[in-house]
Amino acid sequence: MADDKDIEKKEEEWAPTDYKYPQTEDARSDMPLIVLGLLVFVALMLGATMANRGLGTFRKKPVLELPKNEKSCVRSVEFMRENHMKLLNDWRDQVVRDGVRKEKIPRRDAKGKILKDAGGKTVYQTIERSLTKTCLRCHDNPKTFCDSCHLYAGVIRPGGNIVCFDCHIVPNPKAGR
Amino acid sequence: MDRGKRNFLKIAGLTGVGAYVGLKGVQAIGNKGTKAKKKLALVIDTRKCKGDCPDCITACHREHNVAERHNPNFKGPGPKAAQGIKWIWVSTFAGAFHEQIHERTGKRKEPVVVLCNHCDDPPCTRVCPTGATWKRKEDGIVTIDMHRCIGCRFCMAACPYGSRSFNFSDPRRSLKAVKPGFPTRTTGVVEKCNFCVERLGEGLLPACVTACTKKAMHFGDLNDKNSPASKALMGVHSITRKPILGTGPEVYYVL
Ligand code: SF4
Ligand code: SF4
Repeated sequence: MADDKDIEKKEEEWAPTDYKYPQTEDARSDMPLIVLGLLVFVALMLGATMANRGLGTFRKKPVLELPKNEKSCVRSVEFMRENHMKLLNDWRDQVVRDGVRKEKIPRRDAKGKILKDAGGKTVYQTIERSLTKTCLRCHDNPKTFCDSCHLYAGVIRPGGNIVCFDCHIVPNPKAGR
Repeated sequence: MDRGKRNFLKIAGLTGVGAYVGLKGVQAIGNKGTKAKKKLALVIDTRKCKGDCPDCITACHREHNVAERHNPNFKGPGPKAAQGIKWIWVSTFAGAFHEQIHERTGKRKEPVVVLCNHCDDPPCTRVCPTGATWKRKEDGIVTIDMHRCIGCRFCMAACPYGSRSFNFSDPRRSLKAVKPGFPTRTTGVVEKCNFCVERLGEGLLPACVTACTKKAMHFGDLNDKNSPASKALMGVHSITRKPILGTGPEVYYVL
């Protein structure tokens, strides 16, 4: 049986404390290459992102073709801008799952303010929860309306289609879907 | 038997009875909750309909933008379309009622119109992994949410009547004309007869019923004794397809 001293001695032999790791001069001389590589990487990534039009701020603001003969939407403009996709999903679930096809909404003026009649009561109208029958009745060409923003925001690729219209038919023949 | 054991058995027995009564109660409430208010059904009078005119099929397929694709090389049984889309089509008595029509009736080769049966206990909805297809509680229509369907085709395998079709390719390519009011489908979803749920919502009858010039189709709520469907079933002999499977078809055939 070896005593403690023997073991300590063995450990010292095994890992001598004065061991010098080899220091190379090469490590410092690689620096410019590394920086250059990083620069190339960043440039490539930035180029790819910009080519993919992800950097919306560098591009022209989207131009929307607004309906000519209708000035009021089913919700206010601000709401639609942020939530049109949620509204469409809600409409879809309500129609497909619950079979509730109609909804009563207040009429709005061109600025999105809710209209009141002479007695101060809100004016209501009943609309159908339908992409084809309600939305596309006014916004009759998705190419010049939906696609503009979706391209800008990178929701669709240039030349790509919004998947809604893979199934839902655009009645306007000029829209070319 | 000592007292302890006796009491234990008494309590165990009572617990069993209690659990049974409780479960039955819950079941009864459950059944009441899920029982369809309406039970929509279609009655096809085969004395009038000989399956020899295309009126109902044309009307249905035009109404719902169904892209009928026929593969001329397909030689198997059933409709002449290996990758065909069909909502309502013509089969034969032997094909539709094979266990009910014996060989000596002379009726086996006669054509008969078939479609989704909107079964009471549909196997198709039970297998759907996404909840894309379900039986509507309010009227019993078996319907599909195309937005949700992932095209796994479990439901096609489960349906014993071949009522469902799969879109192997973009149906718009084989549609000659589209009706804007109703969406087409896209590649990779399953479709079938929807009992004209969109027309019913507008207070109209199903397209096939309206289109039938021989007045051989009767549609209505079987929970209502005075509906056209209930009346058409009164006092006549009628059958359904494959009753032995227990799916409870809601499409009836008057013989
Ligand atoms: S006929 Fe087939 S698709 Fe229709 S409800 Fe019955 S099992 Fe489902
Ligand atoms: S194909 Fe669609 S509807 Fe049929 S089981 Fe799969 S997800 Fe459900």
